[in-house]
Amino acid sequence: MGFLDHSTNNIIIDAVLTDYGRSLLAQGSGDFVISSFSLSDDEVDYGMITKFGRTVGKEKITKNTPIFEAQTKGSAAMKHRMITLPNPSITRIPTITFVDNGDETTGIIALERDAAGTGFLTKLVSLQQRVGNNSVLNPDGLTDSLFTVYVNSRFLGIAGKEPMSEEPMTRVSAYTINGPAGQTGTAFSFTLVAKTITTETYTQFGVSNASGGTTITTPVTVVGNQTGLRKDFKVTLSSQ
Amino acid sequence: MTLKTITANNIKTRRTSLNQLVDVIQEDISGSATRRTYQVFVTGGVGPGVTSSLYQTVYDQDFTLQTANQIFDMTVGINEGSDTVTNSTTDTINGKLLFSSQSLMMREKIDVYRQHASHLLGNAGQSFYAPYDSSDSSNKINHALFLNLKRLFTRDGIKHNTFAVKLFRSGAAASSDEDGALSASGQANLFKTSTSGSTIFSDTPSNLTDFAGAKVGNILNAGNANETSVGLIFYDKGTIVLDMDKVFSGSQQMSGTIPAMSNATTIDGVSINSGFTVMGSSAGNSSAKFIPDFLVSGSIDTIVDHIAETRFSSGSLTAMTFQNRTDINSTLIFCQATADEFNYSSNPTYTDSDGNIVVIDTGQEDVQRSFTFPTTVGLHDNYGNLLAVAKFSRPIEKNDEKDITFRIRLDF
Repeated sequence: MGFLDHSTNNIIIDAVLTDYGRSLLAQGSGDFVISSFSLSDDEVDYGMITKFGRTVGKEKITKNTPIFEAQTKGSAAMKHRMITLPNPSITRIPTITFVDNGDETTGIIALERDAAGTGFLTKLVSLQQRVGNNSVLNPDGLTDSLFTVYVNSRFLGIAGKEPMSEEPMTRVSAYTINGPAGQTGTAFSFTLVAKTITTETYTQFGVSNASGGTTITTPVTVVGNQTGLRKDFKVTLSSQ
Repeated sequence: MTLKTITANNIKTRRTSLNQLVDVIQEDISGSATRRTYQVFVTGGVGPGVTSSLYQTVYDQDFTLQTANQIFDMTVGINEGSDTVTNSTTDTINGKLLFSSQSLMMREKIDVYRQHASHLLGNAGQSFYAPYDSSDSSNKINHALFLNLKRLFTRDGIKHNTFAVKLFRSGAAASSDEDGALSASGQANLFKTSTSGSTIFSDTPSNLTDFAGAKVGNILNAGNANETSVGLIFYDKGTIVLDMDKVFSGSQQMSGTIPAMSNATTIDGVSINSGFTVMGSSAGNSSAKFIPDFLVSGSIDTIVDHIAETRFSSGSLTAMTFQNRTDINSTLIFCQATADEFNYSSNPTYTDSDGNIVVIDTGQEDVQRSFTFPTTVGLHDNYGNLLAVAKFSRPIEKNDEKDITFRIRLDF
């Protein structure tokens, strides 16, 4: 994936269909209907504004930010979306964080092996949507009632839920879970369940660990359906 | 909210065309490594037999390489009603023509002509005329050279008035002296590259259409407007039909060794491999001509080999050129972000650890407004699934004083 040519003053737009869009076209069922759009800014580092101020920082972002070519994998194409809020004077935005500070620090959740040593215990993941470390109200429009959780279906599932969709090539499954009802950063949770992992799967996807076994590390992503706020973390599964 | 609805008014469709220049190099046509044969025709009976293709394919590089691309197919056909056929027919059984033993693949050459007539004229029994709308017997194409350009290069068709081909109208000299020097290896003019007498033929667009409504043009001598049309170009089908009576010197003497149904090992005192004969030998027809003798006695492979190896010459120059046409159906989607929309971001760098928006200076919360720098537009279906992605070449500032409309074009 290269950068787009930004040597001219013209704005060039590089548009591609995603693999999901192409599969809909191939089905020929008439489901390829574009009905809405969103914006994202994955390449932009707003820290430039902090470092150089609003005037120079904007220029640095505009002129010194090379843009990657468009991705056809839908799950990887847009990570950080723009948000429309009813109040134009909002100055704080919540983030999705772990309730457990330990998990928040490492960003890694390790699934423990069960007593028999043949599988894994389930793991309750608790998250909250809140502004900083304070228990202040989330601004209007910045609380999600539904979240989408993306996991690799080779390794993980979510207890009591069926996947809403799955990308055929990457095997990334999407689950919908309910979020907090209020604006006070109420926690919401879901339970990760490990799939049966064979020796061959460990060999193919894992790396050797200090215990003499093999560890598979797989990403999990939680995205607020209304706000687009996102939380990425890793889950590890070790053979011993 | 991260999604904004696109109304039907903001989606338009349009159709445009894209043209690409295609050059075919002489050595791609003349080289045996870039010209593929398909040995599907096999004779029985006398001698070890003759194998031949019904057509040959010209590639842009060694055709055994996976990266090679097919440029065009080349074959020859003879009109069933021509003198060449009637003069060499010995009998007819249930409509099946029988030919003299000096001929080879006559029925196949007729079939090739009929197949092209069926595809291009709508009736296998019709004859090609150049100019297309002529019915004058002198304009009938009796001996046709068919160049079928591959869709990879013609795409949706050939652009009018862009086709040109450089052909050597005569082969290398074949005097009686040379005929006298014939040997088993066939040192004669059949496979000697032509070096002089080239003519450039180009298309002249017309408003004529074939039976299917596709455009047809005439091919003329680019250097002599007085010369009548020498062939036809079917723009939408990517086929060129050249009248070999006009683009080549039909009366030229031809000599050389060609595959034949023969078990002779000596001809005119010269040793020769079984399964071959010597055209132009004093033991046979010492004044064999390009038309009709060579076209009758040569297999399709032999004739195409001769034309490809000698009449297009062999070098790094352009032998044939044209511009193709790709029809592009585009959907234009206008994504309008009004002043109040998309002014906040979920980018992790957009806030500090306390959740404060970093693009608003501390203490300026009442004065400054947030802004963002979108780099990507996502197009979604009714269920929020991402169908297409568009990237800008640089970030574009979006704030509450800007109303921006992004025009996204999806080509199909």
